[in-house]
Amino acid sequence: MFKGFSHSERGASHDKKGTVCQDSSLFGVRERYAVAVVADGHGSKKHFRSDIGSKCAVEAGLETIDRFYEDAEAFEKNFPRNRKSILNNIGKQIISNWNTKITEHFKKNPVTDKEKEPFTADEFEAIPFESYYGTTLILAVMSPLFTFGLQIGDGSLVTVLADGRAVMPLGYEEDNPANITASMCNANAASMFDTFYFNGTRKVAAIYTSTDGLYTSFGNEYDFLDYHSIITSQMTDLESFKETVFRNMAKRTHYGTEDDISLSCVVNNEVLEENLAKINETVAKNKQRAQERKAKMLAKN
Amino acid sequence: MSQNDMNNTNAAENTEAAKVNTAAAGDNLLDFDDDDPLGATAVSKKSLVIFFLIDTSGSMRGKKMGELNTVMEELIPEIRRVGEADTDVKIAVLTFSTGVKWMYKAPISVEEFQWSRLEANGVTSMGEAFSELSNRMSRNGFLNSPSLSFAPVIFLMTDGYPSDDYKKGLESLQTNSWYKFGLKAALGIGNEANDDMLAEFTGNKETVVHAYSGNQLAQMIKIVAVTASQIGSKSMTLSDENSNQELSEEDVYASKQKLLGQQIQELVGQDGKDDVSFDTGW
Repeated sequence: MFKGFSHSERGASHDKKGTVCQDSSLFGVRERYAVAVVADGHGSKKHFRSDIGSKCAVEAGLETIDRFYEDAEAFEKNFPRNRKSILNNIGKQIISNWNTKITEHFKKNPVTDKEKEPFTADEFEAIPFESYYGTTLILAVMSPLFTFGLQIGDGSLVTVLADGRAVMPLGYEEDNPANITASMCNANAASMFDTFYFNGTRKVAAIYTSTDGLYTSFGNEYDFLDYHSIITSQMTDLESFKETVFRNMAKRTHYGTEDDISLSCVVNNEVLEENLAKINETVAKNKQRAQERKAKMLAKN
Repeated sequence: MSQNDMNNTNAAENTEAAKVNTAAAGDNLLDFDDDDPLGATAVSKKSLVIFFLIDTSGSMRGKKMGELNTVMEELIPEIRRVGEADTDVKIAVLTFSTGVKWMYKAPISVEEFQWSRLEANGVTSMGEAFSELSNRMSRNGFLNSPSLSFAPVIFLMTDGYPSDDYKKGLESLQTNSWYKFGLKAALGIGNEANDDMLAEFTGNKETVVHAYSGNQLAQMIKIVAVTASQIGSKSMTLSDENSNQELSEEDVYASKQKLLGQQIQELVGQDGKDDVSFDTGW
């Protein structure tokens, strides 16, 4: 029923500096549900292991969803009735799993002298070890019964509906000013998740999670949303088209943002195939509207 | 769960592979393909908006406005060269006389910008211009692009004293974060322009210049606009190499504004004073 892809493209600025990609991405396709998840390691001075932190985050996210689905029938029955508390519990479990993973990594890999080098002894003492691994997380789940998502920190979550329209159920930055600076490494991280839930009457063809490097490679939000509708329209031929997406991500970081870019996507095959004509129609209309917007912008007052 | 169903991509592990892929693909990877459906959505570079606030009151009529129009037409290609590498330079022009008016509905990429010759008449609603700029200079207004932006350049040109309550408008502008972190410069045209008032707008005297003739006007506009664009689109490091401390946005802004003042004064000094008096100069 589902298929997907995920990809992390190392930022052009990291290429120049010779530093590693701080992003991680993952997708999971199961019989009853599919998961798309990305994480963006903070990368600044005190978050010197955030590439590991982001990897732990996407793994913790997917494993948590798998665990909640262990008794799938019970979960599918309870979730619509208690969605607020269950979303809350999923957030808590993700943070707990992430903490377990980074603690394990920390124990096996004590901080080296080289990692301590940029800090004075006092400065280093003041940094909690969780901060070494600081990262964001954006996770989305789709099933025939419901679609939901959780986000901590910046990045985007886009759903493409059966009619081809792309929407951001969690908004972006300016709508969530408190969430921009939130991080998995915050002491109260479990309470900082932003969440959404659609019931099954809202047919979703695809869901996407991406790190902020993708969003900031666009000149306007319309183009950003249209991008997801276009990808969805091409997903019937996933294997060949995903290479086109990866190349486009490379162009976006090279010519635009220079930041790491991650994109994870899962598609509901049945909804896609049933609505492909409508989705293609929406893509064509979006293109027309983009041309109209540009003409309007260039008209003088 | 099949392992094949999962794809974990962490470039920290795949750095070498990524290098190999990039090298193997070479330039082909980054070529734009006309058949790529995703080509419909353009890639956006980091942008810099230059706001020109131009006095079009009646006192600007004649040689002042004629010269200003000519210089601005010549200036656009020069600014294009500033932004051709890594920055998408955009221009927004707000004129003020009896009321205020934007030349375009939104900031326009310098590649597509075409100057419309301005005409002068009416009074000097500078305070209204400050308020209008403050309203538009926001994420919900002109600076709504998802792509990253440098702090804007704001360049005020006027030949006289405001006819409205400019302080009220300036107070509103001074609460705007884009204004606070923007690079500000001002040009007084002719004897009536008040440099102290212009320094209130820019925050310091070093970024205020004065033109008393058509020749000076052309020189000053080019010096200020090009220098501010160059400094505005420069990525200054956020870490102080001497102390290894991370610098704040405020520190970066202060460094840029100081550099702008120094370079403007240096360039203005090099150009020397025009001997032609104001009265005959126009």
